[in-house]
This record gives sequence, C-alpha cells and structure tokens, in this order.
Amino acid sequence: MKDILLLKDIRKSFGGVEVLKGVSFSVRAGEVFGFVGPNGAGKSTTMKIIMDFIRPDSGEVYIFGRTNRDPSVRRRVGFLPEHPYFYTNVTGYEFLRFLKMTLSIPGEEFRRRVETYSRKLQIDWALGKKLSEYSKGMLQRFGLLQAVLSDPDLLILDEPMSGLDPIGRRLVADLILELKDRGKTVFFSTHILPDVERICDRSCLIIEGRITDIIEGEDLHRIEDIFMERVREIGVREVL
Amino acid sequence: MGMLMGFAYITLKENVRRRSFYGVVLAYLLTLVFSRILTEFSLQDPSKVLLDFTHTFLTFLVFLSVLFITTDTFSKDIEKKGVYLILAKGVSRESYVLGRSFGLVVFSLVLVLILGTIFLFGSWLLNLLSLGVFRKEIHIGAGLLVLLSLWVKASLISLVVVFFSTFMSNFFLVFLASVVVLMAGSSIENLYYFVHLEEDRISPVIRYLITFMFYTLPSFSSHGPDVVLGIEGVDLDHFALDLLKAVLYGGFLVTIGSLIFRRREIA
Amino acid sequence: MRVLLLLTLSSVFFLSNLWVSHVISREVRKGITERYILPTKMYLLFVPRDLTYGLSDLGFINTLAFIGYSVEKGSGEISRPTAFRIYDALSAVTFYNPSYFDPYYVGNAFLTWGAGLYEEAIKLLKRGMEHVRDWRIPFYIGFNYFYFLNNNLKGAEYMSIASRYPEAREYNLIPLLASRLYYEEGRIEVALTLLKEQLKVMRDERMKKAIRSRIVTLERAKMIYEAMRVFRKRYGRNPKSLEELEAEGLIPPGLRDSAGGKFYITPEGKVRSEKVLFPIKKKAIEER
Repeated sequence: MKDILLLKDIRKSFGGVEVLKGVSFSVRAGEVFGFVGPNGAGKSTTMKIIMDFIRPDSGEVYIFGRTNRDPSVRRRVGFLPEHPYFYTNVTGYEFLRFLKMTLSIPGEEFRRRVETYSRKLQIDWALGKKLSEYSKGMLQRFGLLQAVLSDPDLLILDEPMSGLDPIGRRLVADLILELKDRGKTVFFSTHILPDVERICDRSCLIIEGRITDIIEGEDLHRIEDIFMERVREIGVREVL
Repeated sequence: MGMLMGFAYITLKENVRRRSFYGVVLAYLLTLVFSRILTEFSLQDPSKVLLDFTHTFLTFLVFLSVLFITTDTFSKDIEKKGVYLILAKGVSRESYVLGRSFGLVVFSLVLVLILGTIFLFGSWLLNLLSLGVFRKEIHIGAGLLVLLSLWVKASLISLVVVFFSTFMSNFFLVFLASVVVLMAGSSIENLYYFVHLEEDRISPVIRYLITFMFYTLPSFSSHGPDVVLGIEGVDLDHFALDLLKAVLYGGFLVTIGSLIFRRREIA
Repeated sequence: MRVLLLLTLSSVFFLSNLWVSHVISREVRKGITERYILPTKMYLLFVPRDLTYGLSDLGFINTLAFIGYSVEKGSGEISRPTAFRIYDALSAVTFYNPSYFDPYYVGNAFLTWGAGLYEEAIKLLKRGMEHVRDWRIPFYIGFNYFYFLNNNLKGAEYMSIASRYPEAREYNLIPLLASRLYYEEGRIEVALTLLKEQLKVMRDERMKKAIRSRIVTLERAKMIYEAMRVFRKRYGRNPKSLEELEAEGLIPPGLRDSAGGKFYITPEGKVRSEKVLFPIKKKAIEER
C-alpha cells in the first residue's frame, strides 16, 4: 500500500535538549493511524514538524510523496491543532467563509460540506454564533469541521478527543470512521488508549522522543499493556 | 485574489466588532467637542485651531488604533497559534504575510473612512455653526486628500507592525518597536530639515547619520489640516512622491517580512 | 457590610485625592517657570508630524498664559531674558505650525510694544509671510521697520506688499502710508506707481477718491522737485522758496496740495505741504 505520510529519522532539539531522537514511521493510504504517547513524549512536536510549523534538525517528512516544505501539499491535508485558537469576534459561519475564500471552494460545494459535516458534528445550530460563545467541546468539534471543509485526503488531528464529553468523542470517532470508509487517511495523536483500540488500523508508540513500537492487528487490543510495559522500561513517571 | 479577499474579510469582521473600535469612535466624537472648547483660546484664527485639534486627535486615534489592532491581530495569530489553521490549509507563509497585510490595509481604510467622515463633517459643522467673524472655509475635497494621505500612513504603520511581528512574538516588544519606528519616521524629516538648515554648526558625522536615516526610515509626513482650510495648496507632486515612497516602503516591509517569516519556527 | 466598607474606602481615597490635588495646584502656581510652560523646538521634535499641529497650538496657549502671568508678576514689565524666552517659544510654535496666525499677531504686539525686540518680531513675521496669506503680516513688518527702526524704505516695501492683498483693499490707509514712506525716501516714482496700481484694483469710490487726491499731490510735488533740479542746474543752489521757481516759470503759480495746503521747501531741500506732505510724526501715527 502506498505511503501517504512518511517520516524519516526526524531529530529535533530545543535548547540543547533532544526532544525527537530519530523518529521514523509511515502512514498508508486509507488507514486510521494512531500516534500514542505520554505527555511530553514529542507527539505535538512531531505534528508541528509534519505541518512544517517548525523545522527538524535533521530528517525528512514526505506527504503524498512530496516534501512537506512545499505548502501546496497541505492543500490535500486537513489539520486540527491540539488547542485550536479561533478569532473570537467572528461567527463560526464567517470563519468557514474565510476558509472558503482562501481555498477557493465553489459556493454550492461549500454549502453542502458545511451542512453535512456540521450536522454530523452536531454544531450546525451554533454556526451563527460568535466563536467566543462556544464551549470547549464545541470549539473542538468546530475545529474538526474546519479541518474537513476542504475535503482533504489526509487528516492530521492533534488530540482530537481532548475536551470532549462522551457524546462528543463518539461523534468524532464516528466521523473518523466514516472518512476512512470514504478512502481518506487519518493520522491522529492521542493518549486515550481505548480510542486507539476502537478506531485505529495501526498505531505507533512514542516515548521520550523515540518510536518504540508499531502496533497493528490483534496487538491493538492489548495496546494498554504494551504501552505500560514500555513506560516501565523507560521509566516515564508522568503518564495520563 | 480569493485569498486576499478572504484575509480582508476575516480581518474586517474580526476587528470592527471589537468593543474598543466603538470606544475609539465615541472618543473621537468627544474630542470634537473638546476641540471646539479649545478654539476659545484663539484670538483671530479659530478655524485653524479647530482643524488643528480635530486633525491631531484624528491622527492620534488612527495611529493608536492601527498600532494596537495590528499588533493584537498578529499576536493572536502567532502567540495563540491562530496561524496554524491558516498555514495548514496550504497557504504559504509568504501568502499569509501578504494576505494579513492586505487585510490590515483594508481595515485601516475602513477606520480612516469612519473617523475621517466624522472629522470632516464634524469640523465643517462646528466651523459653520459656532465660529464667528474669523471663520475660514473648510474645503471638503482637500479634506478627502488629507484622509487618503492618513490612510496611506496608517497602512504603512500596519506594515511596520507586520514586519516586526514576523520575527517577534511578544505583543509589548512588537508594539514598542513599532512606536519607535513611528516616532523616528515622524521626526526624521524635521531632523533632516534642521541639519540642513544649520549645516555649518552640525558635525558631518551627525549630518550623514541623519541623512542615512532620512533615506532608510519610512516617512510619516503628509498633508495636514492647513490643506483642508486652503491655507496650504495641495502639492500634488509631493503628495504623489510621498505615496510612491509609502507604497515602495510597504512593499519592502512585506517582502522582507515574508522572507523572515519563511524561516521562522512557530512553536 | 463589605460593600459599604468598600464604598466608604473608595470615597475616602477619592476625596483625599481632591484635597491633595488642591495642595498641588497651589504649589504649581507658586513654582511656575518658563521651562515648565514654554515650548521649545525640541518640545515636538520626536512627535509624529501630524500631531504637532494640535500640540503646537497647545504650546501657544501656554505661551499666551505665560505672557499674561509674566506681565502680572512684573507689574506690566517683562525682563529682557524672559522676553527672549517668549520669542523662542513663539518661534518654536511657528516652526511646527507656521500657518497659524495667532502667534504672529501676539508676537508682533508683545515683542515690539511690550519687549522692544523689533528685529526678532520682524524675523518671526517674515516666517509668517511665507506661510500665511494675510495682509496684516507684511503690514506689521512694514510698520515695525518705519516706526521702530526708522527704516522708511523697508517700511514702504512691506506696506506695498500688504496693500496688494485683495483683502487689504478696503483699507486705503496702507497704500497711502506706503506712498508717504516712499516719498520720505525720495522715491516719488515708486509711490506713484503703487498708487496708480491700487487705483486700478480698488472698487470703493470713496477710497479711490483719496488715492486720486494723493496722486495729484505727489505729481505736484514731483513737478516741484523737477523744477528744483532745473533751478540748481541754472544757479548752482537750491531755491529758497516756491516763488523763486514760479518767477523762473518752472512751475505754475499758486500750486497747492490736493487738500488745499501750500507747498514749501525746507532748508534741507525737501518739498513739503501744509496739509498732506507734512513730516510723519510717530506720535501722530500712534494716536491714529
């Protein structure tokens, strides 16, 4: 199967401390890939490097077979950051209109996507409200809505379940699975292991800046055991 | 083009709904009343005093608003990572800097149009209704030219902030650096005039330094209230040159800012 | 209870602030100095250019207040160093806002009559002439030249400039005064040209009449001067009276000025008349 996302020996240091120590893995077309690790393991740093927000000290990232330094490859990517910040004085719909103008999405297509996804995420009723009035969970679901607005082939989601109640988590998980059924690839980071077990085809463990395991198939059902074992081996204390 | 319009749309929507925006409009209305009170100190030139003050307050509020709003917009984008959502959509960093700059220039236009209309209409009305025998005529056409010049300067200040924001994250530092450039760019023409007026008394080192700054800093000089009163003629050549310099300098700031921002890590 | 306490405390703080402000206001009034209130050129050097308009106007209001304060403090007298500081302040105000009329108006009145700084007043007014289109500014300069500095020619030059402003046409005193000053300096041709020029542009018939009358007087005076020149050529001396010129047939008999006054020749060889071309006396101008 074709690699949609490929990371090759990524290293990154901040202030002399090496945060990523040669991270390599790949995400195949059409799969849901979970990126699992404790807090401070380097998940968000990896995400930022994939999105070219920060540059690695060494190593390469390829998206759809092209270097991630080329901004045009991100036209086929939908991204949700860990703590998305939205302009507070605009309504949800106005923010989406901004994206429509920026991405040149045709009017009819835009309306169809907004209607479809906002209903699925149960946020359609709030699109006329200012984003400052949204709750944390609503913002998270709105973040996912803006990520899928461009109908991307690859979705990169940093902690998409964070701040969601059980209903919200269910809605997001359902949407991810539906996107997978439509042939989309989803790469998401999380530390909520049952989510990985439920929706992922494969996942990898990152602990202290190193990829320790690539887990797939039946092993996904014992991901929690593998995770705790690796944590014990390496000695990370802060595991949530 | 769609991208530029998108940025203009979101920048306008975001900023005109700020409470501080309405505060600025209200504050300006109050300063009109205050300006009228100050004309009582004039002996034989109340129209001039009225226009001097209404124009000074207009400039002050436009500069201050543009400085605050531009700095705040970028600080939200960079510090709070609002920019992630934009860059993640395949918008290049250069396009982001260009788009944001365009959005802020459009916002400056709206700000100058709203406050400028109050300035021209308010001054015209106060002049007509409340000033006595020494009243001078207000030329609305020339006033529009003054507003155009103010818009160009406000936009240039926005672009100075954009430039600093491309490599600084701290709201206060960006604001401070922009104010310093604004002050230096505002006074450099006076300094340049000074050193050439008193050429013999000024050391060549200082003279060359001031001349260097005169060439390299943005200029914020423009037509003032005298044009509105018809005391000073409209020097179209000078105006066109000022406009050209502002456009070129703005272009320089956006391109160099893009270059810096291309390499910047947004952690 | 807590609300009441906070309300009381805030009231106490505010009222105490009012009392302290009152004490400070007395201190401020006691310690008022030129440096505290008068603007200088450095005052606005680093202020954005457009803001200098309003701020220089404020500087002028301060200067005006300071003049009033100084006059009151010095019982009508202002020391020369203080006057120079006021000149510097007015110079700073007009440097940043050169088209504001009031500083020139005050500068002219205060620096000349109040402080005796005639050259400084003229310097200030000359800046005004470059930026303000108001006939009063060249008029003030001209007046200061002839009245305070006894420079009739310069006075006449600036008066002529003032008289050419369309707004000055309702004041025929200016060209008349300018023509007198030119006459005093022996420039009768220039005086006549100025008056004839004014005659063309003036609309008020009463004013025109006064100008025509002055032209008649000056032309007659010119005729007498011309006759004197011929007389000198013939006899190598000045004539002692008009009768000598009449006797020679150089002027018609019974020549009078336009107001009916007799012409006469002074021992210095100047032509004057009883009603129009009498010597200009400063006191007379002042009274007028």
